[in-house]
Amino acid sequence: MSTSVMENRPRKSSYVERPGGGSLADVVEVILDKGMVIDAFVRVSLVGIELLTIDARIVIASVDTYLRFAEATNRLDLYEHGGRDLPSLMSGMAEDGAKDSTKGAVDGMKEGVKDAVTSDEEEEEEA
Amino acid sequence: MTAGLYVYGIVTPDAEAPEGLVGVHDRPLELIVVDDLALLVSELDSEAMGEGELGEPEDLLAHTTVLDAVAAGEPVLPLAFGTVALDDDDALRVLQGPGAANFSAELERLRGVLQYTLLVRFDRDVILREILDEQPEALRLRERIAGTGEMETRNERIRLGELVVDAMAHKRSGEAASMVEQLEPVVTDLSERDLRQPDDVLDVAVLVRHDAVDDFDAAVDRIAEARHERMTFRLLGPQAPYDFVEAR
Repeated sequence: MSTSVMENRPRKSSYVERPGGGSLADVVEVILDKGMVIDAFVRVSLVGIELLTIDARIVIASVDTYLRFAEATNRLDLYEHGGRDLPSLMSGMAEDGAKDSTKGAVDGMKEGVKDAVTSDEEEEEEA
Repeated sequence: MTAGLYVYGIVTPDAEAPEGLVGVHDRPLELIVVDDLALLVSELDSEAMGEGELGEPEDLLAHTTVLDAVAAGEPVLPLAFGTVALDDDDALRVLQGPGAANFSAELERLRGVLQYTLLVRFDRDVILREILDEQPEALRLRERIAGTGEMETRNERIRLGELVVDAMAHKRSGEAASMVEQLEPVVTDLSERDLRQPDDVLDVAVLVRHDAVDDFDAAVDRIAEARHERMTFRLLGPQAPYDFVEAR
């Protein structure tokens, strides 16, 4: 990439995460429905992923989602900004190591897709 | 032992891959050239193929790593993950068929541009606090379900969840439009993707000219600085133009 190294090079904001190619979770989203499909070829299928493709595309507005967001709201710590109280810390660690106390409650669908291809250590939670 | 050819995408015959770049199963990349087009391929290892399927996380990463690395320097039309040909002759069928006449033109359109993908989500805790602050009914329902199990307060939970999801949808729409408006001047193409979670705000792929990358980065930084208290920002790229090839 030809950019000047000195002076006017813009400083990258710390508010934007720039992981380059992205984590495995980001890659899964690309894999699911991008790129040209050539009819003449039977694509080698990714075990389990194609079944999840259809569900993963829909913004879920279902009872399951409502229950998850209700629980996230239930667990929300109203008194600290960014803080977590002990009970939510414990439940967060018990589930999937989610950094954010509310994430465990609502990431069910997306985690289902990621889980098909990742182990917990490879998963990269968003900031 | 070869188990066929993995086909990553279509490039021009003079395309070069970065030194040392390997593909699926750690195999070297090769070009199959036909007239003014070429296929970017690598041999599949039959032992590594297992059940005859590509399912390991490394396979997914190899696909995008190869395409992203090549796209940084060359126009490339990415194929969908998992496109496998029996041999060289079989692979050539990619370049035949009805859509193939446009490949050359599409490659030229993608010369000199890079894809980036911007993923914007609400900071979940911040937005939930906003909603509880704005909607007394939400606060009341939250108090109602506190300390209860899902079965006990199922109806209240559904009502609260619906209220929260609707509120997020309402907050999202104006936000996405204003961000897109700020991106348009610094990109050559833009493709909004379907949102997946209620707290997604914007999921957008863009094409950026090589010589406009700094301006684009600065625009994304400005967008994030103005909104970072309520949203998180993740910028992927440079990438191959996954969102800008016509599905066939």
